[in-house]
Amino acid sequence: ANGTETSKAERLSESYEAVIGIECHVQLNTATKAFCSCKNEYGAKPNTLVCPVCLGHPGTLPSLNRAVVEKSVLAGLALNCQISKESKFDRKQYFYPDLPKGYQISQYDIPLCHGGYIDVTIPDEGTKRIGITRAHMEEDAGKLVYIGSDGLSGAQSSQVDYNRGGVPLLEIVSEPDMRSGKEAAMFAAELRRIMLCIGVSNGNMAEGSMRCDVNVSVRRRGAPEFGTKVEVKNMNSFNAMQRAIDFEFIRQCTLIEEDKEDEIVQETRLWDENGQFTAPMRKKEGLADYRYFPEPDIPDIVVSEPFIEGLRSSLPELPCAKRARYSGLGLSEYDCLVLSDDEDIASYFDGVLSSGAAVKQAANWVMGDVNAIIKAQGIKFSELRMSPKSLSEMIDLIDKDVISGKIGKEILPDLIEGQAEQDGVGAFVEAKGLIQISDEGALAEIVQSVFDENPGQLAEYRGGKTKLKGFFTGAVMKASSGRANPKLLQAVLLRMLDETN
Amino acid sequence: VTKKAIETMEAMGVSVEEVTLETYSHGLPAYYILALSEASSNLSRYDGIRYGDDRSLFSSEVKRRILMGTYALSSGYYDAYYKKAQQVRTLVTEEMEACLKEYDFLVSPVAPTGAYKLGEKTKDPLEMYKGDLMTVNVNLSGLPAVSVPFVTGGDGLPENLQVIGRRWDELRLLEFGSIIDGSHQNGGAES
Repeated sequence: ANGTETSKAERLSESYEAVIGIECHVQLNTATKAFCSCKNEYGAKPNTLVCPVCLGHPGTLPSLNRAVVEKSVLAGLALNCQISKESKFDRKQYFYPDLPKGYQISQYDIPLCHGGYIDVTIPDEGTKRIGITRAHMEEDAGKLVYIGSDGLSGAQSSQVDYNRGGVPLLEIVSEPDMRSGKEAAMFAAELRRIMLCIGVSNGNMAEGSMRCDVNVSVRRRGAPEFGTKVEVKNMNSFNAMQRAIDFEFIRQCTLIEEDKEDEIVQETRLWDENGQFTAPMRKKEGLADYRYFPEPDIPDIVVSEPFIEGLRSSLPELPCAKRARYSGLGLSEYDCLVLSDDEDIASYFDGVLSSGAAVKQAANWVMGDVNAIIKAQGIKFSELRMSPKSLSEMIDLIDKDVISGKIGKEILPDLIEGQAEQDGVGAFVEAKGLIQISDEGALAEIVQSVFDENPGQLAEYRGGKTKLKGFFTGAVMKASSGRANPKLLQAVLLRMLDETN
Repeated sequence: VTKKAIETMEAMGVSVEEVTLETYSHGLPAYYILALSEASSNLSRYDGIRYGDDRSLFSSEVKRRILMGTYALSSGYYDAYYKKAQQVRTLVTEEMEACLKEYDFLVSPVAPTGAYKLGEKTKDPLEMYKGDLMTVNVNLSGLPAVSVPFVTGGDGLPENLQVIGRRWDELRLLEFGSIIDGSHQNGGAES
């Protein structure tokens, strides 16, 4: 947002607040689809992962995939939800070319999960609890592809790829607890983090395995009632969600300020990424009647207490617990957020810690130099040839003054290539002759030889040009091939520089 | 046919009693709401996109059922029709099951009238639906049942008996059915 937009939003925020709810559709990463044994895979050739069931051929019946229930319950537990011990599927009926049966098998009035929450940490603002109204199971529809154009307008024809039809979805609905685009984006990011952590989805917004729609209304600060709710769709990233909500906030508040509050209507608007605005999706068609009724072809879903508890005990450490653990170790809020952002970095960091490294040093190296190389090479922490143990060993050597931090940075690329894996970092630095010179006598000798080679500068220093200390530091470092212990060097150098014969 | 059935069975040594099921006849309207609602939904896959022809080619009876089923599921009507019909279904089923706790089988004529000629009732769908009065409760309850040839009427047309058994009791049901099967003129009872 440009400068005027930001200040406009700030001014409006003094009198108004946004009320935001989010609906997320998360594709579950089961091996096969929800109601048939077709493979659940992204990117295959169109209409190759289909069968009579997911194509809605006459006489076919759905057969519920157990893994869908397992992953959905696991997700519900990770979202602190109550799990319905008895629930059912319902048919949601409407016509669209990507919906083969003319109805979607979904859950209407008795969702599998309800009444949960997640705690979202917003940097510099603290933690906020966002309610989860419900999470229910349903199937995805096929995908429409337009020939000759990006979208419907200007296209020569539309085609349908049914590969995605029947893929299991978990629809997660939040309470309208968010008050800004930022909070909404952070909520969605945390939701994704949790889904990845428990391994039920790869939550890829660009590939469509996680889709988020937002509902935005505004009201005067302090007003008890909600304003008119507007649905916004077609945001492809968390960032876009934030911008779309911020745009809606300004649009709706401005209408109120211009005495045009009745122009805020309950409608669906699409976010336009190119133009950075929302626009109405279609002319008013009236509210859809989905004619929900219980799916007669699938028996009730009954989950027992042992089933639920079994899944609960299989939950890994969730992101919020990880952040709390890192915080307990003394790390800053920022460090906690970075190190717990995903399993890849957290797992590596935990490995370094469990090998005995000091917390703060481990955090700095992992988030700093190692992360920089990770990003540059475009790899994952799990793909590093430098084991967490080796990094821990290097940190320990620095801590014990065996090598300097500077040397550490220099040998890091070699370590990352795995050169120290076989014999350990200690042997590596020894073989390379990189062990720090921490012996005062040895240092004094080098300093003296530098003095002998630079009598002019020595005289200038002793004559008052104390800036030359830097020159001598560099020279001694060079003479020692970088091995001089920096702290000790300073002490020895200073002492010897200030000596008068 | 009912009188004849009682006589024949008693002669075989079967103990027969007449019972009244209060809810039985309510199964018919409940069935026609539920079956048509499901049909309207099941038939929506015939959109002509992946297979098949235009929906206008559906026959008038099919179209009738789709329209009625869609109506019964519509917002504002769901509670009064579909939901109510499911509740009636539960009552009908419960009464039949309770009866079958005391008795081994429920016997009735298959149809309230004999077979009618082709085209005789086509213009009156409700008249045709009424013919299902005795049999739809089997669909609603899911209890096992057989239609057993029994007698031939004066007009040369068959009049069959419906025998309804307990849940999962198909074996005994089929055995009993074969005993009273009129087409084999078995005689001799094994009770």
